Amino acid sequence: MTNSASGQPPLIRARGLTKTFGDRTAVAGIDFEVRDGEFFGFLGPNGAGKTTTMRMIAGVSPRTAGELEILGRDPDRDGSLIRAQIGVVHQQETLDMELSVRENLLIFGRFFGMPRPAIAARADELLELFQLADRAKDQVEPLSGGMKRRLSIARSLIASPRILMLDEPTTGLDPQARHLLWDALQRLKRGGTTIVLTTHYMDEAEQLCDRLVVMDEAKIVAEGSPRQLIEQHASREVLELRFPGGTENLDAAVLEGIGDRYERLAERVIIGCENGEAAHARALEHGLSPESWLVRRSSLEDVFLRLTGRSLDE
Amino acid sequence: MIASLAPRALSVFERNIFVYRRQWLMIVTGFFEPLFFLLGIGYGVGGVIGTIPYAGVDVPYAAFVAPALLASSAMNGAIFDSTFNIFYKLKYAKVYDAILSTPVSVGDLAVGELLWSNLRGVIYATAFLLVMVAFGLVHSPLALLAPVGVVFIGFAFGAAGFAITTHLRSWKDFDFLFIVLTPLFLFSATFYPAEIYPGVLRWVVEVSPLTRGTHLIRSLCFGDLNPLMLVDIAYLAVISLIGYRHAVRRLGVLLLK
Amino acid sequence: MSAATPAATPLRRSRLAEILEALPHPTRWRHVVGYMLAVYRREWQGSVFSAFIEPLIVLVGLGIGLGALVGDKASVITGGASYVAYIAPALMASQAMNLGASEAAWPILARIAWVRIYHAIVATPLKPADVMVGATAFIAGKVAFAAAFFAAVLTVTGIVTSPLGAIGMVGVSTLTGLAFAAPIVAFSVTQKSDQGFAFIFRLIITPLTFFSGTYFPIESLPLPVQALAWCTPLAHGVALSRALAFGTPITNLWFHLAVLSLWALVGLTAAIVLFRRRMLK
Repeated sequence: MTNSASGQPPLIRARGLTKTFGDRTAVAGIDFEVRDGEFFGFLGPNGAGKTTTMRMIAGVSPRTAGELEILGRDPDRDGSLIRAQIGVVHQQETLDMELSVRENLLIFGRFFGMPRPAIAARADELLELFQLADRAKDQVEPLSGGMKRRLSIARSLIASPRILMLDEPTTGLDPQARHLLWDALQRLKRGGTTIVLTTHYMDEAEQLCDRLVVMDEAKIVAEGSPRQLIEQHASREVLELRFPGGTENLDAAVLEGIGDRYERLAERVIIGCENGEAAHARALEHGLSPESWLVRRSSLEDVFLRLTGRSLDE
Repeated sequence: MIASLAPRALSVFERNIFVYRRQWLMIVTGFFEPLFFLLGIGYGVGGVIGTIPYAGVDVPYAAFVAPALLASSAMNGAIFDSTFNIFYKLKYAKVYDAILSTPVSVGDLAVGELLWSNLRGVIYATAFLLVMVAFGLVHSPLALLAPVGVVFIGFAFGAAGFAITTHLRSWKDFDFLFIVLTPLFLFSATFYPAEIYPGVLRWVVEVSPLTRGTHLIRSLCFGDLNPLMLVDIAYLAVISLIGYRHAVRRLGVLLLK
Repeated sequence: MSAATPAATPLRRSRLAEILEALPHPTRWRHVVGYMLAVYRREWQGSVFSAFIEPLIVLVGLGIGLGALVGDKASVITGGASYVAYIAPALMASQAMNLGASEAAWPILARIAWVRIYHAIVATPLKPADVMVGATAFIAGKVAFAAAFFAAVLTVTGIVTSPLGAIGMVGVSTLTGLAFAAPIVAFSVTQKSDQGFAFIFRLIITPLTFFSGTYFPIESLPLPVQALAWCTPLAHGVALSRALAFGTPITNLWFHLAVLSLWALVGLTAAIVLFRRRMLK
């Protein structure tokens, strides 16, 4: 937000950005801006259009309609120039299995047209930074999932890009590897790199992103910082009531009376409210008998639920 | 398109050098194939055949076959790289997805890969030329130009192979590739002159790109300069260009969705 | 784990029990053949060319085409027959070698290292030996089938005149295919990548194609090369196949059969031992 105040143009700017594949609309006229130095997220379920948006930004997917500017350039015209300043980490591993860990970095430097001595120095620095130095000579195949992902990120950073783009960076990683990766990304951000990521993990978006857009069915349904989104679209606390026998027989009028709003899921009712304890007491008064209950602070999950009427993993 | 002949295309070429530093055995063993054909057919069966007439004189059969083997080793070197290896990188290893996330464009990519598959062809051809010299099968200093002629063969088959590969769906389809390659190798005036074929069949053989490549190399090895060589070169160049353009277009369809 | 755990005493098995365990079950290998057939039924189109059509193209290209160039001089080596008749039975044996060898290479390695279906099979009551016997039997069946097709074409076109000889040629080709397939299966089960195959095919299979009496008599080779050729299976397969095609008396029949069988049996035994070692690691 400080950036927009200083009047700098955004690094990425999209207006009415649209992509269709035949009859299917993958991205339906979205607007967003990514500012210099920020950590920006696309949050949404699989198939929401996040990856397609990322591919358009990276200049490997020509847009169908709308405006798109990256670093002040049009990807249709200046794809190579734009990609020279972007590091991309694909969702699916695209490491070169025929090369060693270090060679993966070296050849990427060549793709970016860097001189060899500069690449070698940068590669060793990155291997050190991502704790891969002792595996430098190894083949890629036997590395763990977390190591492969770190190598992918290290590789994308070889040419010191201004923008780092990560598509679902922690999908498939165990919790420890995930936190390690989050640390690394936050360090990069502090170093001044602008980071754009997609995720369908609420906690990830909440932990990392300065600002994010929530995507659903090819559209952006909300935008803001995680705090803003929660304040705007969710109440302070959430009461969750569990009904293992199903929730379809519960009286809507009763549910409405408990808190500010409610969402009925298959085996849970989620009630947004100011005070969870008080809401729970009201629920019991109204004769509900959940098997268990809990009160927590609202999260992005609730924002998503509220905006789309669905939970993210559905 | 020529602008793609930039350092970025060379970086794609360089990737293959990285890979093959570890797989040099693959490259080295590829050289032996034409050698065994020379010994087995050229000298073995040639021992029965003796000499055959070529360009007005009788030449030993081995000397007749050797230039054709040189041409077909260039074809094989280029086509195996541009089919098997490129298919693996395109469909399985996702190597190209990674490469295209860098400033490298599909044009750079295609040029880099074609340069590489051509290099293999040139290496095989040059090594084989040395064998021919050692066996006394070379009759003209013009044979030194054979590795240059091989470049045209390598680009034609490399580009055609690349273009075809972009249409293959799975490894199963590779068997169909051999339906084309085996007859191409056997019937392209490799082991006997095209004149041996009756009627229209002869003209089918004459338009085979390998027949043209073989004619080019054979003319050089025998020092028999003739205007038809220009047709050979033009023909191979046209195939290269069509193959290249088609490959680039298909890569765009497949990778830049 | 803890220091108090007593050191494990190695389990003692009798040598006999160990050998029995390593031997194949008399019938269970058929399930492996069944599995391979099921896969083949889905993928057979992919191998029609290499197994059936390619041999015919080579026969036309080198038998008829090169034969035209050889012309009358052929009788020097064929004893009167045409060149195409001379190389046809040899081609049958050499194509059996090619098919047996390639089926023993990539498909086997793929099932061990890439698809890892063998790991799943060995987790059932089937033993590693059953897998090897089944896999080799399947290859033999495929070679026999391809050879029968080729023999039928040769008989119909009149290149081979004796139907009985043609049947014998199918048997010889199958045995030749096995003599290559079995040892190469043994090699494949030890491999991690397919790089080693380049070695086998370019430096062993290709030269054998030429120097086993296929396109010209083995006797015209230098003596040491001849001796080397007779140590490998193809020369014996070619000699038997050609004698059967021409209806000439077979000299050294048992010697030829013994060399071919030895390669097949030693190869299969090695395959069982090596595959067992890899699976039970």
